[in-house]
Amino acid sequence: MGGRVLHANASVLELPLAVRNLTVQYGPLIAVDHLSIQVRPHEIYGLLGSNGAGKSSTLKAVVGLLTPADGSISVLGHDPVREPVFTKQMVGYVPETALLYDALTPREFLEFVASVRGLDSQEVSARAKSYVTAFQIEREFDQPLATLSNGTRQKILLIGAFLHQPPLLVLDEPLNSLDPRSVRLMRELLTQYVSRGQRGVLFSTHTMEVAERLCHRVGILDRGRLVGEGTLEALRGQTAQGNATLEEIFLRLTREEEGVYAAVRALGRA
Amino acid sequence: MPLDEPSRSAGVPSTRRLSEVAYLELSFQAVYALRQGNMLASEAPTDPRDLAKTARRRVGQSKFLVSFLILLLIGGAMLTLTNLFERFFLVGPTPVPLPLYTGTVIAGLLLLELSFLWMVGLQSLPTYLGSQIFPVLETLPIPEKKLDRVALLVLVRLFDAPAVTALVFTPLALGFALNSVFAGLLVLPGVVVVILIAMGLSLRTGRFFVQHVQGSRGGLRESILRWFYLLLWAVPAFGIYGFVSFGFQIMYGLAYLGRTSPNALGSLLLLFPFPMGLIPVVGLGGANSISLLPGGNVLTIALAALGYGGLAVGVAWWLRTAPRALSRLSPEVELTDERRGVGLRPVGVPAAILLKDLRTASRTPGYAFVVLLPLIDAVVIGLSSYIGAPQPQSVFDLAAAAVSTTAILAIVFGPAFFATEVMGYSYTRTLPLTNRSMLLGKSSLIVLIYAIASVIVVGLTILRLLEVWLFIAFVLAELPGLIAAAFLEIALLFRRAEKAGVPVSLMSTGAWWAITVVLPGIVIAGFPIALFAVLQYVGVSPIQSLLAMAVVALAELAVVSLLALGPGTSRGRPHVRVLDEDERSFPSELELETLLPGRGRG
Repeated sequence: MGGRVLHANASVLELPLAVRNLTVQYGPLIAVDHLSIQVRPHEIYGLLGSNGAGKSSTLKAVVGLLTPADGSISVLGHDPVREPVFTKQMVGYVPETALLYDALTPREFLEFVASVRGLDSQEVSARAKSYVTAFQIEREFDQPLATLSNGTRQKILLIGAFLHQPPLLVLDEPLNSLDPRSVRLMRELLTQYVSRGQRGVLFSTHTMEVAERLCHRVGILDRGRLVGEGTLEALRGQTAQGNATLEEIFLRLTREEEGVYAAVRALGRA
Repeated sequence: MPLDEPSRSAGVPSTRRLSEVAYLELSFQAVYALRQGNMLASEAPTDPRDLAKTARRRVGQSKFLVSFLILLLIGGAMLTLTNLFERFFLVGPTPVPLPLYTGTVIAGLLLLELSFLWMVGLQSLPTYLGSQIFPVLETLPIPEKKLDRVALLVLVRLFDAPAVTALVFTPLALGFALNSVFAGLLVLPGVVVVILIAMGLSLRTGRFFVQHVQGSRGGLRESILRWFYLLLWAVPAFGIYGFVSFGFQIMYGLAYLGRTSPNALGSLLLLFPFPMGLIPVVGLGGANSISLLPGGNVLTIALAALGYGGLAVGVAWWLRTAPRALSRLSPEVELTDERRGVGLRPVGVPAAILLKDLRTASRTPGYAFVVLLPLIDAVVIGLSSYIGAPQPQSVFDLAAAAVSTTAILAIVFGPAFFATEVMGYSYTRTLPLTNRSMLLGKSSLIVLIYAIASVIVVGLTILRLLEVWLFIAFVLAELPGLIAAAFLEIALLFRRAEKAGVPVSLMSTGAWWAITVVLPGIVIAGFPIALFAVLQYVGVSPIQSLLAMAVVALAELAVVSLLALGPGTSRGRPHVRVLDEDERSFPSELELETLLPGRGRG
């Protein structure tokens, strides 16, 4: 696989993810408007944006759940639309809501995922064991998913994404519903994960603190368009705010700063 | 109440209005299953009102189908009460007294209606529970009693068309068949009792499902226990099959019991729904007609009928609060310190799909029913070879009956399992699953049902079949035809579902869709058997007919495999539209504003 990719275009195709001019439409509504981003090897890329900014739509297009209206996506040099099965093998995905096969237990669900991904029993069992122990869900491992809390279901989804150690992890609000211990664990886990191999992580979040601590680079989406991108330092330079937090930069770039204060004033008068 | 605490009833819309919205949401979730992760097709209407209209139409079609089947049962009962059938039973080796005959037919019809309505309830319950309507309504400032009434009205709406069909057409048909409007009207109490008991049974079994099946842990022992519990869901189906298949034998059995042990028959006639079926008999022939029943006593039968009426009143009283209570019920989670380790055992992809479907079925009554019904049918066919036939049956007669029924049931119900994908739809689409694997996995379930059913028939009839190997040859000759039919159906469903992006809820929605998928399957599965029958009819030897059947079935499999699995088959590209969170939630902000005007204004 690697040889084939290098042969075609080494500089671009080795990237875990390259999105060029991506446009996603729902009827007349343009959810993602000519978005171009890259996730480089060893990089955690955070996609930030308000509700409806197009984060989840971007992630869904990357994992092949949505067909782009325009533009292209390349996962290690492969197009998810033309080669859906291959690219899905290269990606681990955590959706924003933990909608799973509720009638299955975590063991049964992970066995299904491992079977579809064609994983070796011994290897996958060892890996599952280390993640299940780390997330402390041994007790819930044989209970139906329907009876588990959102946080536990989220942990199962995360384990499902890590199970085949893919070159690209696509995580949609992965830390939602997790307890503080698990959030910390995930932060460490993701940092450790991208340090090995040519791996990259694309993840969306509303939580600026998490993005600030975890991401190597962030992209800020506003109404489907990329309004800012780079490291925290680069974004500070872009907005000419020397010591600004990511939240302040985000509000400035999305032109929401004044809107927030106006809304607070209006609520105070109500 | 403190002055600043808002009244729980101020500005709350009427019960009917609330139940309308709740029922619409239920229909919407039954068809689109958005709360379970399904996504809308890109070509689906963008206006929510159009989506709601489609959901209403599909659920309406499904209710029409069930009502039509009840109407067929009523028509069948009407026919058996005509002179032609009566003459057949009233004379002969074991004559059946007329009141016993009429009462048994009416009681049989009531039992079938009960089974059908119970089945409707069981099929709707997972959607009722999964739609999460009431947990949302509970948070709104709506009085408790109103919420109870809304839940009851929603439950009634699940049964409305089939129940009204039974209520209107049962008296009409019986009045016509018995040539007495009065006798026809006297069946009404029985129908009302049946409807109430069916609703009660649906909720009781629903409670049982939530408490003992939904939360059951994984593991072989637990799986076996769950399948045992799920047999409960098959009881109504067994009632229908048993009564339709063994109706004549039951009639003769009762007549025989009346001659040999009148008291035993008298006691039997007190069981539900006999007393309700005997009320029109009294209306038709007066109190004296009961005296013609061996062991029958008009007073005890009247008391029994009153008792069942009282039970129905009790059920009605319980139903005031039970539907809402059910929606608030949580599964009983088995807490145990038993650790089984975290070892995972991956299998091949088609086997993984099959295993997932069976595991899902073991915790979902609707799907368990799909697996169990053909197996129950096999049991009925196997048993009927003992009860019905005085001599060992011809192996080909039995094989043709068993194989065609089993194959057709597997073909009719098997594709319903496609709907299980809805539950983890968006997630599954991110896995590297090919359509080919999915097709093989889903088809293997149909083949498995067929194989187990065939083994059951062979097992039950082995003592009466002198040439078991011929039966097995017949089963094997049909097998390629069955696989071809399964491939065709699943391929059709897969392409259609992929295009439309909606779940294939064969049992509950989209009757026309079901027909366009199932009919080609029945044609493909039925053709080899039909060919065998024709060749037998024109005098070709059984072995040659069997060979011809096998060759045709294999040819079908070759052609369909090429179409379904060959090059150019779809790779599962998505054509779906994702709803925003606002659109997914129930009720929408717009609906809430309509329902509870002014709720946000202080």
